Amino acid sequence: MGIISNICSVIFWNLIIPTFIGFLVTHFWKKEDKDNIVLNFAIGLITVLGIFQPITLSSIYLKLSFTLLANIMKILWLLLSLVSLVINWKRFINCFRKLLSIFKSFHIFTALVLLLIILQIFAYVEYEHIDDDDSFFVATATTTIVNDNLYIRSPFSGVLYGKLPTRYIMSPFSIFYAVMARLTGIHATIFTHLYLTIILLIFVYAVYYLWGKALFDNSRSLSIFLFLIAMLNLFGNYSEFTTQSFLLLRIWQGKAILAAGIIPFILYLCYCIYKEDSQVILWCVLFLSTSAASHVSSMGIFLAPVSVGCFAAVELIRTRKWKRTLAYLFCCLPCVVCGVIYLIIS
Amino acid sequence: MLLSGLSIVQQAYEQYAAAGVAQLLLISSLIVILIKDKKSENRQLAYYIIALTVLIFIPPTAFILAIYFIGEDVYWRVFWLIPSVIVIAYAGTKLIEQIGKKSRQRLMAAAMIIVVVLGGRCVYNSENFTKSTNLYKLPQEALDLCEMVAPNGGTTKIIVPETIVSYIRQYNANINMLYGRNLGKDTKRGKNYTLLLQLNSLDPDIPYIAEYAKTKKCEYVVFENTSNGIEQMTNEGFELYGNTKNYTVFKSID
Repeated sequence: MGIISNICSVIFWNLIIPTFIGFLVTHFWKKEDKDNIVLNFAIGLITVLGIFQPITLSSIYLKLSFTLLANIMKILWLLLSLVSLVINWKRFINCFRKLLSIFKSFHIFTALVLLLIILQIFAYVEYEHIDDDDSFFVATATTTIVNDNLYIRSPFSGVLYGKLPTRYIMSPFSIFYAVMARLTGIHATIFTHLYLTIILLIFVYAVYYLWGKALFDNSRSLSIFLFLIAMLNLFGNYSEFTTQSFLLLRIWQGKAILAAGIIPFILYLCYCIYKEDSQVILWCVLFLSTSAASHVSSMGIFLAPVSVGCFAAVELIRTRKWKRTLAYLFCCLPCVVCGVIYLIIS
Repeated sequence: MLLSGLSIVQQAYEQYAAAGVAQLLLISSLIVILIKDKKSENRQLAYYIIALTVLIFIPPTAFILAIYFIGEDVYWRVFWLIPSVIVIAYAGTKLIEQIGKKSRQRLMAAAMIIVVVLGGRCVYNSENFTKSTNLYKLPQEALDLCEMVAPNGGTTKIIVPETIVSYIRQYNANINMLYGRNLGKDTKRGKNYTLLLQLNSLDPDIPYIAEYAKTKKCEYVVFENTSNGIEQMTNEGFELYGNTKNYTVFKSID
């Protein structure tokens, strides 16, 4: 496949489909600017990962073939997108009109932010940061595709697993690489190291954008906020362990997108829940977010509930609303279930 | 437990914060929010960070979290829960907003950027990045070796040194290997590990390697060019198959 068709298929499966799915979710959200494309993309990608987790874990347990799993996800994601297209067609038109009006509120800081994001994308495209952890994560994807099974053969050597990698099997983000590689027709390693990095970078800045929209009322302050964030990220390599380093060095890895994108998004949802009336849909998205966190990294199984739990505890002390605390804890259920299963199988 | 917890926290903090000023900026930003910000939701965010910081830094909880949940060596990952860049950028923007004139706002923004630049380290440096030579973003030599032993995604079984073992199956998962990167770490150290040590050695035991490779039905054996005496492989039932800049490939004649 030529590079143009590769790019088109990546855009379709990793930008358009998640955005459509996001519109389906926000259909039930009573919010003034719910037609914002960035909001819908972010929620959509989280939903894609969140629903992928239980289906993948079930497939691994049932020893389904990889091809079957990929076809199930293809049908499911297309179906959800089609339903969204049918019920939200007016919102799509409204969204497109709003996109055009963005240029009216263009500031110098907006231009600087876009420039810095393009620089970060350019760095990922033209340069490489080789990480030996990929000998497991990326090689799991290539092994899955070649053998058409899930966690049967070791990605390190190709031999049959004597003992399942219990630590990693509960967070099968590598299978997501494989499924997307299959759907886009691109080699799993190229997809992961090149295209997925761009998608996830866009997602992380979408999360920062949503934070900015929640914190500020005007577009100028939002632009300044994003500009400061982009600079903090660029100069955050004072330690190789910071979220900034993980964001700009190896965002394709599960723990990196967990640290840089999903945990901030979970916190954003908690912030929105606290700030607004607690609509059911927000809790649903939070539930999906913790599922997504447990999917991308085994650290997510623990860190996501700690984040939500801590936020809930502080809110309980300040507001004494016990029911909301229980709701927060219920949203951590995906991580709790994964944690319990891990304890049983390990 | 107290002393262990304290040690864990100290080590993790030193690893995460290093020599950057971000933690100072974070503390300053929290103070700005608590003093100046009247919005309940923003104060909620500040209290969340403070509560989380207390949870992370108290030695007994740190000990329990590190030993039973996160892992002692990677306790620094718990700092990922603190949204530092968001809080610092928020406080910075709020301070800029309070300045009336746009020209002064730009000066303030520039001053903040200078602090960030001087107090941090640019991620784009030669230690972290090299120019890509292929779309896979793997060492080109690994790809060349794979195409040499198994062209167009073919199947084979090979032995390679540790310096290149991580990349082979990322390119072609039809190439099976006797061991992977996890040998000696996740897996037990047996005969394969002895072989790995030989492959990594400057003076490998060629007859041992050749015999073991044949026993394990490995079609190719790859050596680093710095290894001595590898030409002896031709006396052990292997033929010289090819080489790259840093590696030499032998193929089993059988």
